[in-house]
Amino acid sequence: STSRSLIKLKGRGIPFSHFLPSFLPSFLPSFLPSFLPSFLPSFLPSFLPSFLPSFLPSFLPSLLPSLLPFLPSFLPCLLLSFLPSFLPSFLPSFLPSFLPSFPPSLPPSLLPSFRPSFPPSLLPSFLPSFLPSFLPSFLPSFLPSFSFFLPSSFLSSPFFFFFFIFSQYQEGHISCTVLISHSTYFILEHHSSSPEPATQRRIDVPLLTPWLAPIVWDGTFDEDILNEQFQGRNITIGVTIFAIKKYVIFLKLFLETAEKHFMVGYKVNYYVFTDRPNDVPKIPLQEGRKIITLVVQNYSRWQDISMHRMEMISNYCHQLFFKDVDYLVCLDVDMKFNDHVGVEMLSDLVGTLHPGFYGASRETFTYERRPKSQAYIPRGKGDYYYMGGFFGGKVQQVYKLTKACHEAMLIDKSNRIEAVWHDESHLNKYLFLHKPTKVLPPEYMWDKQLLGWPAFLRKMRMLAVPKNHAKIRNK
Amino acid sequence: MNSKTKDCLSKTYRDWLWVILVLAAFLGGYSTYFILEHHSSSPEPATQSVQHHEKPKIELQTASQRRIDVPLLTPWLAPIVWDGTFDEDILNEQFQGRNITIGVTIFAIKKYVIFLKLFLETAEKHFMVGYKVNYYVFTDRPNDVPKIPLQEGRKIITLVVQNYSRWQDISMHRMEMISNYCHQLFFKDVDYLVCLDVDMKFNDHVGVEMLSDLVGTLHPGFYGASRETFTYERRPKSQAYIPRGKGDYYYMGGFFGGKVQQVYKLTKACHEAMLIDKSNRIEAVWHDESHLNKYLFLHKPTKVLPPEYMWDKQLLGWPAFLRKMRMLAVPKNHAKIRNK
Repeated sequence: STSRSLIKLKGRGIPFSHFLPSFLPSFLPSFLPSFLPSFLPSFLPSFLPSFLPSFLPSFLPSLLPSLLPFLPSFLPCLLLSFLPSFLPSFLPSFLPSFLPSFPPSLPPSLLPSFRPSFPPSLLPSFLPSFLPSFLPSFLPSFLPSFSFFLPSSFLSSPFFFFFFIFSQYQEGHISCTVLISHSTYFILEHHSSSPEPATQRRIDVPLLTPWLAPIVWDGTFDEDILNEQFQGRNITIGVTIFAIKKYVIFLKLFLETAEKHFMVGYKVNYYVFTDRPNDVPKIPLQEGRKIITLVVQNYSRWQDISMHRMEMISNYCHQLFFKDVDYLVCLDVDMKFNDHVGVEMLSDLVGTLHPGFYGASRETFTYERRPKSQAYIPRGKGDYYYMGGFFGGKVQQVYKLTKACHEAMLIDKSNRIEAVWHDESHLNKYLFLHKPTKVLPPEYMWDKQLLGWPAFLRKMRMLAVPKNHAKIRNK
Repeated sequence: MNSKTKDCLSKTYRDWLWVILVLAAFLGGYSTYFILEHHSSSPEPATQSVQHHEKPKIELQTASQRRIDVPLLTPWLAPIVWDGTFDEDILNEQFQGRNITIGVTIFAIKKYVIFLKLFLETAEKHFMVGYKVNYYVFTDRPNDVPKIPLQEGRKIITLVVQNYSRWQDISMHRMEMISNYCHQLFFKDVDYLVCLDVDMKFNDHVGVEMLSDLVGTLHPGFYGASRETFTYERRPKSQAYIPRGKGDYYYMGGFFGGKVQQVYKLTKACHEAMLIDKSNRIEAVWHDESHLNKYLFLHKPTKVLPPEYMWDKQLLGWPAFLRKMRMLAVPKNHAKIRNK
């Protein structure tokens, strides 16, 4: 029926408006309200440079069948369509247009969901077939860079890569960049002066915070170089875990898996804070590692136990931590190590992104929202939602953090208010005011039962151990 | 009928084509005005450097790289400070409270004094604006140091040093002079040191985003090149020797810095290595730059500056990955300037 309508149109010379729906939105967003009012709202949220890489394959295949007979006349305008730098906006405005229930405007919160779960299977199947035939024809100046590019990429990853070209007008200079779109696997070799073999770069996730702290995703670092840097410094890492009341049952699995995965080859002191010293299991430890049991009081409410961790850590800093260790890592005990956790995570002040809030918009973060509390973070503020059960850094920094959180909790207690997520809220407030120097991604703290295994997660370094909350808490 | 249709067809198509082309060109030409950030419902005219006007804070966790055309991190997790990867406001907030002073060392020996005026004038406009800056001008012609009006909190300190007949020696002895003055001046007066070539001018913002414990800059001529082409010193006899297959980046000899303690260690080590080389009667192929590269290979920098921070427009043009040219080489006549 499409071909029939095309033939009809041919005779009447009403060409364009009937073809426009399939690709017009890509060119003329806010200019032609008269043409396609239903498409327009979809453009505005989608002017997102971040979507640039993934637009091209998505609309061209749909374009080609209908346009094939008219391709020669359209080629110049297709040419120019690559040039303007608003092209990035296509993908979100397109994908919905294929679907019958295409929403008039894509809420921003919907957009990010495309990225991690973008099915690679859609694109590779047609991209290689048309892309090479397009590029040489209109971008001869890129060909050298492409030819340098293509063979190695083709050889190394036949299916899971695609290239995109876009150009920017800059002050009259026309310059072009070769981009690699996000996909699950790719090798970025062009324009990289990184050591060979190039560590796989990640473009599906943010690598840096706005204050230039690295987010330590798998694939971004070279373990050997980092181990070289740290081995010479003869460091000791302290781990604080709180096994109060029934939580002692988590110790065995935690310590056994830590022996296999945590800072292997380095000196580690496990500081087990407990009220039941006899229940601390005897685990065979590697050389240079030891368990130090610290007997502390318990509290009847689990919220108090959680919150007083800050106080206990800051107290023991002067007695123990300043002298004995260089770095402190403060962990929840109801966890197990599942994969390598090493010196890549060490820095002055380290926070971990809460796995339940990764990818969520800032408005959904469960910060403390009552101004009366010391942990108050106003709406519209805040960078990330950090996990209360995994933070660390140099002893001095951790001391400052725990001391500040403890004092804030005391002030709150005197004002008879308890932060909505207790010590986690206070931690978030502190890390909002004192930005961490390294941020750990959700790889370092994941819950497989609750959250599954999304595409951006290449490794699950620490996993939550399933527990029966009612049985464990308050006993 | 067919030819009529064909004519009709091509004419209307051509008209439409022109409309599309003109509109696309228009949009392309004015595309900067239509680039929207998240959450803004109407296009705002973007200024020259987009970061200067109020941007709504983008969703940090969901915003994938703002730059995916360039490497953002070294393999040892040091950030490469590309434009678009950092938020100036957050960084200024972090640094303003610490009351820091930044020291800049520049060497204007013999005829190089002529570069001082442009360097200092552009530095006043672009370098660490709002912070305390001490310009340490090492020269053998103190009377030729120009009097530049300086912003508040900034000063020029002229240090008279000896000159050498060969320009290679002048370049190499910079390391010695910097390490010497550390104890006398730098440890006390400044927190961070930035050691620059003087035949440069500032063209765009250079701020606290570049400060870290130890900072190296990627040489613009070698960015994107394979490791085999790096002009490391390849003779094992030299202290600056880096074997084939080793090395991460090729750093620029004319832009490094960091905390005073780190720069002191670097300059001291390079100077001592150069002395050893001198006693072995060998001079590294790129003099102090080779030694700098050896040092930064063994002691990885904590931040790496991309070629934005040191570019040569005449030689290298304006490639796409370069969004800003923060410092540019000033064209000079090598034969006239050197050795006089």
